[in-house]
Amino acid sequence: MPDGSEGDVLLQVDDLVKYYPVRRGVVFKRTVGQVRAVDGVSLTLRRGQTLGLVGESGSGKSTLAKLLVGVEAPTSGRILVEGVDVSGMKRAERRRLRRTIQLIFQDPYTSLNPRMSVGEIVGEAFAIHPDAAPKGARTKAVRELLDLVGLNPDHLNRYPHQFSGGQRQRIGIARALAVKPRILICDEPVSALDVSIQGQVINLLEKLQDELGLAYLFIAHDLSVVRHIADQVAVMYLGRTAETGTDVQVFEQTRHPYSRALMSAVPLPDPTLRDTRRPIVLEGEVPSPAAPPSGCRFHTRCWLAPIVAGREGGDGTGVPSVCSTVQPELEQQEASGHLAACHFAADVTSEAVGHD
Amino acid sequence: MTDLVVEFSTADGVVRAVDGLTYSVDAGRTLAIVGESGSGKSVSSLAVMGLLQSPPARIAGGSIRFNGTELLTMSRKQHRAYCGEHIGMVFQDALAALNPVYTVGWQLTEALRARHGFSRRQARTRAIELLDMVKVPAARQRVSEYPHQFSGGMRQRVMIAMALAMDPEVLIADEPTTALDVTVQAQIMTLLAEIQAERQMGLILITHDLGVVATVADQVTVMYAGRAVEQAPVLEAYGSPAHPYTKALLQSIPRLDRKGGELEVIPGRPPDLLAVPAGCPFHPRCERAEDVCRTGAPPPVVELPGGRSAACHFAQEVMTDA
Repeated sequence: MPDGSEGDVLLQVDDLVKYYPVRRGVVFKRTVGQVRAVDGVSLTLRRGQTLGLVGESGSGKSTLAKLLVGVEAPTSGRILVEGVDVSGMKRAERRRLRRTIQLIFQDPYTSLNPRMSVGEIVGEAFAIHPDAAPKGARTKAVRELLDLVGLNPDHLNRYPHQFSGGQRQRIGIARALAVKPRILICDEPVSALDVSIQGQVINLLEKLQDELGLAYLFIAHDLSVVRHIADQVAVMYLGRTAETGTDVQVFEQTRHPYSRALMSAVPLPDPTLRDTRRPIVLEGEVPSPAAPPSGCRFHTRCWLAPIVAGREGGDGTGVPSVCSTVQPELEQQEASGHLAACHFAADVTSEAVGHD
Repeated sequence: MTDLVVEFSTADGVVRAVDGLTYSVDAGRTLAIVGESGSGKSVSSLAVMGLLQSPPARIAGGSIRFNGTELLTMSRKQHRAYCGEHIGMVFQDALAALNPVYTVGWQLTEALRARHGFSRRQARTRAIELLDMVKVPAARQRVSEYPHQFSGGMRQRVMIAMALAMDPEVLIADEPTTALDVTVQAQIMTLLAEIQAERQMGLILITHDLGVVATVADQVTVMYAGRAVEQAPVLEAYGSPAHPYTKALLQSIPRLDRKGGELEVIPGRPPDLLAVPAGCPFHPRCERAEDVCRTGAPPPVVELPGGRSAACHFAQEVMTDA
């Protein structure tokens, strides 16, 4: 990676691909097509860093999370965890991997077993990874974990229904931390929570990162939350990375028309900006990943393409032929580490200012 | 709406979900009702529509008047019929709100056929007009499709079309964009704003999203534990909040346009309605709570200049601090 950021690489993903077959037929199933959920994604996650993964439904961000924790096997590509390729691992080997990567789920209501006490939920991992805590010290370890995430250690014997949504999310975090992972995959960890509780969980995640040196892959559709917590950001669209870079590069020096539109669509909690800020309203919805558009996957909804086409002598309604035929690769922008996959990346900022 | 009180009887006792709520909305204006879960924001709108299941719900007091007509003294049937004519409602979950076994066109015009005796042909023509109005592409074909054939954003458009079928004067939208992707959310909010301007409808927007409120609302009502803690024009509410809850809420959310350090969060969590704290319901989480806030009745609503009000003993000070 050209980026010379500090910290060693914990997780590296190279050209990761996951296709799901589409099958038809009752007795004899034939494969009639493929859903290209993740189609050539590369990313790097360093110690102590947070990579924010942003995208709408169908962007492949949740499939990517499943691939990283080993719930799904990739079609091709490599996943390197601390330098070791884990993409082709057998089950038993994966168990070791799970000590390194843990997942925090979106829904704190369905992700905890209602029949298990909090102590059992958090301590369950010690039965699977006995070396994470010596046998006699497990209750103590669970109490420490509860204390770490801001829960009362004396509530060890309570059941999930006795806790609020925010507290349950803390239980989920304590469970993930039990095996002392280095990487946490957070899949929409705060979106099911009330506004005043979201902030508490975000602050907790940041505190834990500072104390334990964790790396986060933070998947969220709420761009404001990603802006707040992430050091690096990747914007995904239909299984591919549209833009990636540091949070400042992606949020302030945006070079992809999709990222630009996403950001402009986020309503800001400041009524004085109402008249100066116009969202770029994209037409239509995200196309199906079973039949992604040719060329640039975003060209069917792109607001910039017609402007570029108009400048080149068209009537301002078409799309430059390069956009509909050639798939753009991620290319280096002005600043090191800032990549965008757009044929007209240089036009994004300037056009966006005058865009109404 | 004046002093509305809604109670639910539960196994653990009677819960007061809405406790003395007063608000009004004028034609062509947007009122946003903001609050967290359990604040009573949705229950109050269900009471307007006569959609509360009773029991367990019971309207224990107050009045809801529409253009001077009292709704709460009507029979349930009259109430529903009256709302059908005058007030439209859009729900959060469009898939659950639409019937999966009828075509979209059939559901859109059910009321027109039942109440106004539209023939099938008239109904179909009107359904296509309605879908066109909410910008569903290829309305002529899609009118005969079923809800599952529509994407989330398109289903929400159908919901809006359905709410508009009877030309309502007021539209209540309960978290209309919460389940949608960001870019689709922008499309739906733009559509609602256009339709509202065109028809001079009153819009009551129920949401937890302070960004959406800042973008579309004229007036905002902030709810906490069943009460309106602050009511003000949006610019004033955001610029100089008069209730500590509003102020803390605004400070606690991360913002897209700046990085910021640690979030200034509100400690604790929203109260259990079975055990609402004495005094001001917000006092256990409030940074400026004093003895007067901790006992007795909840603080009275203080009228403030500029047509604003707040239910806080220190409203004046909170407002000028900011």
